[in-house]
Amino acid sequence: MDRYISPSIELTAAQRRRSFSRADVVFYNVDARGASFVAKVFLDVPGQPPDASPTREDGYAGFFCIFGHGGCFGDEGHCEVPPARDPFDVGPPHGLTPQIKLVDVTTQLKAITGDTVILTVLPISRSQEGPILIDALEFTSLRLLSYD
Amino acid sequence: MALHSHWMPTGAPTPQNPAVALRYRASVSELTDAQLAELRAAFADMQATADDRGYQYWAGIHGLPLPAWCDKYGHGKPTFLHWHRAYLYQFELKLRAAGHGHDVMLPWWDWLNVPEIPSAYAVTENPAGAPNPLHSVRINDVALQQGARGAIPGDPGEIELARQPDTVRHEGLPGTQLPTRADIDQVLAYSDFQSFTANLEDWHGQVHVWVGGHMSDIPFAAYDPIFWAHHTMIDRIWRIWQLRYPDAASLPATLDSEVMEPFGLSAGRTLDVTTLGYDYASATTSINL
Repeated sequence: MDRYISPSIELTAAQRRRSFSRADVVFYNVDARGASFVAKVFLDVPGQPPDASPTREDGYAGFFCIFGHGGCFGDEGHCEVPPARDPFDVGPPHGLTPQIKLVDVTTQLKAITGDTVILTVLPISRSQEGPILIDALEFTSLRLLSYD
Repeated sequence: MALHSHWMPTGAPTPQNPAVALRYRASVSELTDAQLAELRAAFADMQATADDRGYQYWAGIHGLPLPAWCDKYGHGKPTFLHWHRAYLYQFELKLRAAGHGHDVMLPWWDWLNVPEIPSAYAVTENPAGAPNPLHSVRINDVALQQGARGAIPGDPGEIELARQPDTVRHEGLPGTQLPTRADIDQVLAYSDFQSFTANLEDWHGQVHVWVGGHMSDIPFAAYDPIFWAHHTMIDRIWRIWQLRYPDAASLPATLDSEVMEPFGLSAGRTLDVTTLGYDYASATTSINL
């Protein structure tokens, strides 16, 4: 996808009180097989354009970066992650196993005023013409975590 | 961001080498003219070496030609810092041994204080008028041919890079930014390794994308000589973090013996830079009698 806008996420009681020392958004199974991009995370501003300024005033909370594999350079299936490992395979996992990405959103989550929050993720591509969104953002789930 | 080591200026002692003098990596902006000339000579000699001691072989380990070793250990993994420390260490040994040998260490690009490509890497010629080996490198045909197979739907960038045999940069890509001191201070404030390495890796990636061109792309990034200065800066920040939190684990215990292929070093062996014979200083000069 070239932009992700979450449903409205209901904050927990502690999050509504803003009584946490740290809050993270964790993205699970992020695909890194394609192009590199910078994924900028905004809170409660679902209409942000690609060139939105990375400032707290514009809802910017943080980013993660995918330094992409750049496509598949092998034969068919070379970059496909096997669904199951051989039980005697003691080597490292497949190099393109989807990644877990973490964005610290503590400051911005404390700054919002409502009892819910909407996350917007913009994958910004390499382009000399200006910031453009790229259809490279793939993940399976996310979690909003906060800590006392 | 200061680094004040509490270690003696010797490497970690062994029965064979109880007190070997450490070598020091310095900021590229603080190199003397003679030191920069020696660094360029070392890169030129390594680039002129066609076998597995040469620049093409070592740059290719990162991405193309296959296998792309960094994908197994180096990105999005808890051993991101360990794998790249082993990579720099082995590359630096080859750089020092290139030609008839060079008394050089890898310098770092201090993008906190020099938010642009350092002039040592930006100029196309050295003072004598010869091509600057730190500016651009010709990529071997095998890597380019494999790169041309990596078409990504909707992104022609990969194919375009594979068509450019000499490394290019497009620094300052819109929408990307170099980290500020406040950004890195925030990264260093994480006292747990997982948060520290995850956030540092993301800033590392954004610097790659900011430089643009071949640096923005795993398959070709290490061919650009600025790659080594960027990663030396990342390695330095890890060293500073280790000194700031000496009791914090820099590795999940389960990965201590994991070998950082193809470098032959376990992740545990990379934890202490003094066992690898180097440390960081803002600048260094020496006199040999």
